Amino acid sequence: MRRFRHQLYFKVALAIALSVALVAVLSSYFFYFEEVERNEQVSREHVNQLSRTIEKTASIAVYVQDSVLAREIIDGLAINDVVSEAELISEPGFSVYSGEKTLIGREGLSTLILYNPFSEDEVIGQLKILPNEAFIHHNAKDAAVNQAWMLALLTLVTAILVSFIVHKALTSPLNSITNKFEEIIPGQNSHISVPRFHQRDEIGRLVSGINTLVSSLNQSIDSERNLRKKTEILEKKFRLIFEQASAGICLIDSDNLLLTANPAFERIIYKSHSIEDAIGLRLTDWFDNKLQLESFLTDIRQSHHLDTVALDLKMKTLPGSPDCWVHCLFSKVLDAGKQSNLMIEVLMYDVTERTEREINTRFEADHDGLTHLKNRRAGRRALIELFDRAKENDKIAVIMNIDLDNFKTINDVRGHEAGDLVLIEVGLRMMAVFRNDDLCIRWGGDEFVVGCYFDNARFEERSLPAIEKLASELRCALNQDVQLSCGEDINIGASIGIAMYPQHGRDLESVLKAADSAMYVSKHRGRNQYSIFDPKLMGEPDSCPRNDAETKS
Amino acid sequence: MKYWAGLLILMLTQPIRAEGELLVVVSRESRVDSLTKSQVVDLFMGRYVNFPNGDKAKVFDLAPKSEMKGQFYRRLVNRTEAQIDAYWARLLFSGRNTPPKETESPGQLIDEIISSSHAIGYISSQDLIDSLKVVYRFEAL
Repeated sequence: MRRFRHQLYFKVALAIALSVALVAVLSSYFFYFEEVERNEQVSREHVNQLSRTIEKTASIAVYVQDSVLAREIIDGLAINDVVSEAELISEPGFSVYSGEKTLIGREGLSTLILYNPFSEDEVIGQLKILPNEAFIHHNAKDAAVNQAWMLALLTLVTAILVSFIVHKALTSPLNSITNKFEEIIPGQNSHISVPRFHQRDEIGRLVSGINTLVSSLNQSIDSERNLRKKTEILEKKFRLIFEQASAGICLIDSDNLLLTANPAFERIIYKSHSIEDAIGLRLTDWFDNKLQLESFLTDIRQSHHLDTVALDLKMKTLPGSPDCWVHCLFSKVLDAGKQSNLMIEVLMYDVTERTEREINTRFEADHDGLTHLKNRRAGRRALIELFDRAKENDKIAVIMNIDLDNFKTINDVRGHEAGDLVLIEVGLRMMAVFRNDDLCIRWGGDEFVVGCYFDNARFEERSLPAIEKLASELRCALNQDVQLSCGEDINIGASIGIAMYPQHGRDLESVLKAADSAMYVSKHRGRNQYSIFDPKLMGEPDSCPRNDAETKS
Repeated sequence: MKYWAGLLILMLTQPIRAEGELLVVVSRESRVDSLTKSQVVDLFMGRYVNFPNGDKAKVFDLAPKSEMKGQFYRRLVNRTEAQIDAYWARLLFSGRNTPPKETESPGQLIDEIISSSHAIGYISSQDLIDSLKVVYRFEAL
């Protein structure tokens, strides 16, 4: 029933029935009164006609004042249903009436003036008729009621007919179209047939429109399907690339949290971290210099020029496990329209082996193979940096020039093996004396250079004594016997020259030269001691370093 | 041709000649001297049975279908004799009113009038005699 109530043809029929009922009631109501009025009019007209019918006889009866004839006329009139009472009146007192008393003075009378039948201008009397109002009204009402019923019936029949026609011509085909339409399954090539006799009207057009729509829908479904198939294949390929890639690939959001990562990435991460699931964790937490990387990533996000940046980074590792280096490629990913929410794609290669190789190569290039101290080339570079830093920070750069005493003799007498052993031992002792960031350089042969920092403030009271203490420690360390492989101990010693920036020269070369000359001063003074450069001694011609260099040891 | 013309003349002249003048007359002994047309009508059509002066009136008429009778009623009330008959037929029903008494000929009508001072009737002017008194004279056509 509820379903039925929502059917279109029910709605239409109901609407028609309601409006028809309204029209029937209104029109019946309206026509009823009009009909009553009309019928009463007709009855009055009837009364008038009656009186006119007997006018001639009545005027004769009045003319001759024949009461019998008059009575006949009046009684004849009174027989009529529409007449209640009638009266014939003549001027001199002649009066014949059908009722109980004369009609003169009564209301609602129909009066006919009677003339002399032989002289049209002489009034001789009146015919008065009292219409039977009750009868007339009752009659009129009956007729009007009948009329109203007829009207209602007619309207009802019309409504039924209209409903039937509307149902046949409109709602029924619509209903069948709707049912067929509900059966259509998108993607299947189903069509609705046009209902009979509706090929050319709106229903036919609607059906053909639906069919066109359905077929175009099917086409687009087909193409969508094909597209999806292609996309799936493509996606499979891409996923394969993503998952099988040897490079680690991941995506981080604006907070550097991991959004997605491929297995290669996870392998790299899991190598050095025992994590259940990397997604959602902070990428920078896994790297050694976390803060640096974070500020770098912020720079990338803010900069308009940096789009892709490559970096070699060291992973944070568990204590005891080997170092892990990765080569990272950071690329900004611009999500359409979201400038603020910048994601960064990270491409990552495990370059531990390569980096270690590089580190080794660089170490070998920069260091002396025997003593593992810096070689002269790398040492000079480091010294330049040391001087630059000293200049910048207003500090003292101290250069010590160290020359082994009698090394040539050891080499000649004990052989190169013993000489090498001595050099290695010297290197180790120097490293032991100096701090980690002091520079210990094998300058060449048995000549070493040390560079270190000191505070400039209160130079005389604090820095100078510290320097001298350091120099004396070094001299002591180098003066210890060296045990050769054969078990024999040999005594060695070193002459040390010390010069300082900015006291003894404005640049590295002049300070080096000053240290060198100070070293020669130590040699002249009997070796195995240190000397701080003194400009006053530089005046002596025999103290020229070049000349002494050939005659030393 | 002459015959047709003669017939035409006959047809045109005949009514005038035959009609003469219609007179309403009473006996010389009657107290009525003259009547208006409507008084004549009222007497002949049965409205009043008395003369205006109160004397009883005896109205005489000619035999039906007589030419003068038709003439008289046409001149008096502009009705045909058939209409007059129909009029009386309605009144005869009640029996109270009676039509004028018919006489067989104008001569008998004159005799009736002479013999009663209450009588009234109509004659052609050619038949007027001294014992009759004219109370109404139709105007000449």
